[in-house]
Amino acid sequence: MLHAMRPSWRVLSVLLGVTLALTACQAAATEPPPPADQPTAAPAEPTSAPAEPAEPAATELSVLEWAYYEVPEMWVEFGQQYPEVTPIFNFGASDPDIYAKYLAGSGEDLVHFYTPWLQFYVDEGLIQAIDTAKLTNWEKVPEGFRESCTLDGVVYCVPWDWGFTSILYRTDMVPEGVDSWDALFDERFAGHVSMWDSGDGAVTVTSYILGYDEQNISDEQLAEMKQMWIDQRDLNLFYWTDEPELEAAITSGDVWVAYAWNGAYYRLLSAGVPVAYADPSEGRNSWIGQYAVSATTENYDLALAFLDGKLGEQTATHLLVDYAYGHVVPEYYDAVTDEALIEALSLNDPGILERTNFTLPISARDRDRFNQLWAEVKAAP
Amino acid sequence: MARRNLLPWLLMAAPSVWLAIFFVAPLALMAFYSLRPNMEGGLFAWGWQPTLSNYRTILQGESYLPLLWVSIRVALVVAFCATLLSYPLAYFLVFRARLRAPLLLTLLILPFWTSYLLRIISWKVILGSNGVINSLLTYIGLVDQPVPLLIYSRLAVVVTLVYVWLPFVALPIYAALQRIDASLLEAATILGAPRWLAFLRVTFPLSLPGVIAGFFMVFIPTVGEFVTPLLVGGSRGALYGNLIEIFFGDGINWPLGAAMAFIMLLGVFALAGVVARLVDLRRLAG
Amino acid sequence: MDQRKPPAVELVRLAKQFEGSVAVREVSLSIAQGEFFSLLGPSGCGKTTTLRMIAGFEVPTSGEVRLLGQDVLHVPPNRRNINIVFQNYALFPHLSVFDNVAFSLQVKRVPAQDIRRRVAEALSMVRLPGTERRKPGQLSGGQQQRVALARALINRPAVLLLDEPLGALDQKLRKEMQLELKGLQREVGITFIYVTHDQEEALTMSDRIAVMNLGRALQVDDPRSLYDRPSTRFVADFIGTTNFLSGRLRSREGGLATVEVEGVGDVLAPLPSDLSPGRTLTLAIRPERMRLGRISGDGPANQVPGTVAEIVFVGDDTQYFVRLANGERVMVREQNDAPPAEGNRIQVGQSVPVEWAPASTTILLD
Repeated sequence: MLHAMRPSWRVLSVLLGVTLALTACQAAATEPPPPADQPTAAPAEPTSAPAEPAEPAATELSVLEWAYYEVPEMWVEFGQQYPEVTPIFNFGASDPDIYAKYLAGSGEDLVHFYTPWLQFYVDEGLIQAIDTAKLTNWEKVPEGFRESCTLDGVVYCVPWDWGFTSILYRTDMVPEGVDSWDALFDERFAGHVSMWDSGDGAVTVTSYILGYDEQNISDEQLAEMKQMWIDQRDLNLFYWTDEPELEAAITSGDVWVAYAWNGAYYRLLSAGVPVAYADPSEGRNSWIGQYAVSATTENYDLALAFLDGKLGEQTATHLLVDYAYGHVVPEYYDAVTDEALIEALSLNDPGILERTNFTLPISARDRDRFNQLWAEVKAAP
Repeated sequence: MARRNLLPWLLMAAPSVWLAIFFVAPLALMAFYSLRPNMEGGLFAWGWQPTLSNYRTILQGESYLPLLWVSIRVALVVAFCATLLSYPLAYFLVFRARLRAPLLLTLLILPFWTSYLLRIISWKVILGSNGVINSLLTYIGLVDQPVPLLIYSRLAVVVTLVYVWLPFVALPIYAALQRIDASLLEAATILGAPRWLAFLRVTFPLSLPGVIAGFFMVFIPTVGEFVTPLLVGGSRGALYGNLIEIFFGDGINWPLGAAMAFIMLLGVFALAGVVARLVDLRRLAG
Repeated sequence: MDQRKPPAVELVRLAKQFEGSVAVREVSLSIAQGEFFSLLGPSGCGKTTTLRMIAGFEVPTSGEVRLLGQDVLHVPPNRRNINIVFQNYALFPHLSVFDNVAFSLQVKRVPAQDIRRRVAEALSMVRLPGTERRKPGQLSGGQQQRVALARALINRPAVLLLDEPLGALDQKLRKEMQLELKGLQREVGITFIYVTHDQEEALTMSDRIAVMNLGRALQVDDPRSLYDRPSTRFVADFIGTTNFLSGRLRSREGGLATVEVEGVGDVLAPLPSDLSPGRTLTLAIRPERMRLGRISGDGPANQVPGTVAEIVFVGDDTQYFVRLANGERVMVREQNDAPPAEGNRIQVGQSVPVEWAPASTTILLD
């Protein structure tokens, strides 16, 4: 193709055109969806024949899901029970992305989100209560996890995957260890700290350190936290947005102390990086993945059957062993033999969940306040 | 007669409709959104009271507008450096590379066939503390500890953006230079002008439309840039675009984000207006 | 011509090759000071390349360019004291007429007052006074042409090169500008070297013309000689219209040769040089020197029989296409200098003898 080119206007305009087109694609790929975005291609919902109440006749079930959770290993029991039903997965890239899609009316029967996003779905009337009587495995879920799905006495979701959030640190650089969330603010680690890029996460951490009630933060308390984070920037190398970025920086030795999820800990441990996962005096933080049923679904029973299967042993084992995430039913943990994974999930520490703070639901108003705090931290001179 | 008058309108119809749907409509929607008090009631809520509270929040925030000003300055520096560096490049392609120009031009824009993220990450490889530059500095014994400033700073943002934009600016300058009739330069030469003077009085003024186009092609998107600061900016490298990104992303506060975007739009318009007043574009076009 | 003055431009075996193809093959020319000299030839004949080598824009592959007796091979264009008017004028589009014309003076840092005066003079010389503040884009083609001339002449170069400067103008304006250019050249007394493919333009303006083809200067002569005594078939054909007859030299008698044209008969022609009988050659006769059935004046005349094949009336003259006995067609052009005589009109299909004076015949040897 090259030999036919001449340094002419025509070639140049073609190149320009291609370049512009590529830029446009790139922009489309990196920018958040514009509000004019139509609901993303919703699956052909079974709008036809009303199903028999007891025996679901639908052949499709749609789920708004995260990538990698669509594989059959992640719904083994459901697949065995309903071989004629094809689950249809649509994907979101992040909690805000999933929320925005659902808010725009993408309308899947099920949606998968993480703490603390439950409250927003409830407030906007996007999801409906779960009839736990229809879940054969519900009793196996510990009380703490069930509570994370309960608002005003109503169960709105089924908890499924979970993990810790704590301080991950290099044991060679921090031989004395880390026993408090305060390590993120320790001047000894200047230039080697990395915080997650999140306003919610930032408020959670400082609430633990200052002993404030995350769900009742006053403006004065918020201002105090903001100043802490503004000052923390002198210590913080960068705010991480995805785990591989953080793991690379810890492996290279650029970062010694970081806010991190246990998945990163597990992977670094497995890779032989000298790291430890703190058990801070304020308690670890824990996140929980939750599934909820659409307020407008026509496949309510089928959706519940899908969630019941999620709580089944085979699916749980795959989640634990294949993906190294915690599952909400502790009685399946015996399947885990990988030392690093046992360590990463603290499965050998029966008291750990007692000392752990589960992420609490927050209101939309607090979400706005926390994100403004984060914007002001980033914008501060 | 009627047919002849109709044709231009028909030709304009397609781009007009395109612009209306994909530019004017979203912009109007943004304006609309920026007046919403919050996200209550979902994306297509009705019955809320229009309010300027989002604009008030921004104007009262102590660091939002200063960051916009910083971003404009960063964009000016980036656009200036990218233009300055790409001019000799384009000049070389047009006046020296001759027959090899198409090949070199293709090589120049080749990086654009790879993902933007990939290119940025490769910069991290170059600038990082274990990166190419630091390894070299350590190896030759110039420093004994990696220089941290190379990445995770506003300087890294500027350097990376200049690199990213370089070919973008080179293209319009290349086009402008190539459009210059070779006989004009011969005329200048034979009228007694030495090479540098011929460049100053003929080549450069005639390439100015390309220079200005290239400059603004960089300046305008850079004011709102947010990906590069996120990746190489560190804790203090954020630009105004990162604030907008917070509210359209994690924050799910589109009304505030929309208001921020609008204030940026006004800022850029105002600046472009000032520039247009200072530089008479029609005069440059000749 | 003053013999003591060195020639304005002298080309010595000048040659130029471009990546394997030869553009100019050993052209040697001498152009006197004050001369209006044209390089005439079809496109691709090497005339523009020759001009560009004189200007210094192209480096010769071999040979010499001498300006006023000096070899200028290593002198850059801006120090050759020559100037050029480009085919497309090459006016600086972003500069006003004033700045265009003043360019060379500004480069030389001539005082502003002098520049203003000289620009005004130059513009009035090309009959464009008062256009200083316009942009080239606001002028017509003819006006741009004049600005280019003013710009090129303001510095009084020793030689002005003109590269098909009238090519972009319409026919009428061209004729006007031809005369104007000639007048201007006489007025300023500067050597003009004019490149054109238009033989009429070259004949109209030039003192001397070099006819070029395939990189060679075939003949260098004044217009009259070129027309009357072309040295090659190409020149004869390129300049004006010519009838060609092929023949064989039969005998010679003093200055006259008898040439046998097969199937037509014997033709007399002045013999240019020693030729041995039996040699094949070409005879060139201008259409306006031929007559149908009558020859004016005395002396020996050539006469060959023919049949009128076509008659074309073009106003001031009439062209008769006559088929000769050997099948070839010749054109005979007769001036319509008298009202047509009734009953004496020549018709298509009519047999007529074609006559011309031996002196009007040119023998070409290629």
